[in-house]
Amino acid sequence: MRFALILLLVSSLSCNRESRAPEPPYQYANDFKAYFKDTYNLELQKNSKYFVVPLNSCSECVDSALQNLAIKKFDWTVLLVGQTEDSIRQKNIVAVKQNYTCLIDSTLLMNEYALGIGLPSLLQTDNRGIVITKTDFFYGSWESFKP
Amino acid sequence: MIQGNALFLLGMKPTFILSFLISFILCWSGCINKSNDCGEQAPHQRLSYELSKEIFFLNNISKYSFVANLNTLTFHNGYYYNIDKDKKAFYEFYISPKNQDTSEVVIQQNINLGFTPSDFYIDSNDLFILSNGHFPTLYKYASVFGNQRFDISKIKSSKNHELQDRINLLPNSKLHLIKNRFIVVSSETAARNDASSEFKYYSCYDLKEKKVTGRFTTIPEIYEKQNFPGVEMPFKLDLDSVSLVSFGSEHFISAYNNRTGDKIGSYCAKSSHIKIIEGIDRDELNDFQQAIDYVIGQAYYLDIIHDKKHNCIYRIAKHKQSTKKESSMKLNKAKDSPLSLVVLDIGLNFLDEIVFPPHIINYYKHFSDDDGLHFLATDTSNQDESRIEFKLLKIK
Repeated sequence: MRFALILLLVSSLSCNRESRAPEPPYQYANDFKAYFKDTYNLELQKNSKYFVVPLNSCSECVDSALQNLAIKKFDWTVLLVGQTEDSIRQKNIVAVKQNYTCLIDSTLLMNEYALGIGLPSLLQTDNRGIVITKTDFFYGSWESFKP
Repeated sequence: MIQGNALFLLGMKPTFILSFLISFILCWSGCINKSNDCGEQAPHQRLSYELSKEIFFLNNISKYSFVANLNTLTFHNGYYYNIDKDKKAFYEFYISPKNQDTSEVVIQQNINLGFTPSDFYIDSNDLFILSNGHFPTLYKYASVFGNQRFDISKIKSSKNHELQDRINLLPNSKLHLIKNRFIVVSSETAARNDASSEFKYYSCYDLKEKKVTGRFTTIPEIYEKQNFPGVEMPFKLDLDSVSLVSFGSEHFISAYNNRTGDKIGSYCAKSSHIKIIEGIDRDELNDFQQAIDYVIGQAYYLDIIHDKKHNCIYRIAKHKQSTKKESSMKLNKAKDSPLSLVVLDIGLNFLDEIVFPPHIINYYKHFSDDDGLHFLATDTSNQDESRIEFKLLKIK
C-alpha cells in the first residue's frame, strides 16, 4: 500500500507539471536491459524507441497516452504494464495493439526493477542498443511533442 | 485539558468513559517533547509471545477480495463486517471453528450498495458508509442493529447525509464517528472552511451543525524541509474522542482530542532498530526512483494498532534493508524488509519491542477482534484460492 501511495503521490506531482525541462541522461540503462531480457526474453534493438505505459500511474497521463497511440502511428514498440478494467482504455488498447508491436507485462514485473518510470515514458536506445534517454509524457505533452 | 475532559464525560456512554480514561491517562503520563529523538528505551517488561497458526477456508468470497479489503475489516458484537470495493458490496460474516486451528469464513449477509464504498463505521445502532470519489457522500443506515444483530433489509432505506464540504480519507486512516454526530476525516473539509495557511491533516466535522469543530495534526516542525515521503501520510488510530497519530519519520506518537483539536501529548514509541530516519527534500525530488528506493530501503514507522485483548497498542517499525537483491538486478520489496513491533500500554508507555523471525507474517495485512491481532501469514507456496492463513499474536 505504501508503495502504491508513493506511486500516486509522485504521479500526481508529475501530472501537474506544465513545462518540461531537458531530460537528463537515463540512469537505469542496465536495469531496463535486465527487465527487458527477463520479462520478454528479448534484447533491446539499436536506435529504437520504446514507449512504456504503466496503466496504474497518473490517470490523465495514461488516458492521454492511450488515446494518442490509438490514433497516431509512430515507429515505436509499446510496452503495456499492468491491467485495466476501464472500458474506454480497453477499447484504445485494442487499437494500440493494431497500430504497434506491443509487449505485455500484465503482472507488473516492471515494479521489481529500478527503472525510474512512473509515467508513460518514451525510451530511446543508441547504436549499441542501450537506453540513453527517457522522456516522460504527462497530460498535455502530446500537443507539443514532435517525433 | 483535564477540566475539558471532565466536562466531556457528562452523559457519555461506556465507550466514551473509556475515551475519557484514555485521555486522562495520556494527560497524566504524557510529556510534550520538542525533540524527535527520545533516546534508547529500556523495556519496562520483557514480553514473550506466541504466533498461533490459523487456517481460514473462504466460501463465497475470493481470497483476493478478502485480503485487498483487510484494512477496513471491522469486528462488532461477535460478527465481522467489511466492504468489497470492486463489487460495491457490504457484507457480514462469522468465523466458524472446525478444529484446533481451522475455521470457516461464512458470509451471513451481503448487499450490493449501488455505489463504490471507501470505508464504513459501525456503532451500537447505526451503520455509516462513505462512498468513494472526488465528492464522497456519507450514507447513514439507521437502526440496523436490532437486538444486536445486523438487519440488512434496513440498509435499503438509507439516509443520505448532505455534507456541505468535501470530505475524504487519507489512505492510512479509517472513518471514525463520535457520538453518532462527529465525523473525523482528513483535512480537506477544513481547508475549504478555514483561511489559515497552516495545513492540518484531520478535522472533526459536526454532522448536525454541518461545520468543522476542530482540526489537528500538522507536519512535525523538525521535518520542515526533508519530509518526503516519510511524514507525508500519517497513520491514525482513533480511540473514541482521542486520536493517536504516528508519522513515519517521527519516533513519537502524538495524541489529540479529536473533538477540539487540542494536543494531549507526545509519547516516545521508538524502535531500537531505527536510529536515524532520513527523508528527501521534496523540492529536489526529480527522480521517481528516489521515492521508490526510499520506500524499499529506508527505516520508518508504519501502522499503529489497538489490541483490545491484551489492552495494548502496537506500532510497526520497518527497518533498513538494501534496495536491490544481492544476486540479481531486481529490487527488494518493502514488505520483505526486517520489521518489528513496538509494544506500548494503553497510556502509551513503552513496554517492549518484538522482532518476529523473518518471512513469517505480512506486517502490512492484519485485522483485530476480541481474540487479538491477526497477521496474514507469509505463505507463498499456498496456491489454494479458498484457503488463507493467519497468525494470531498472543503476548504474555
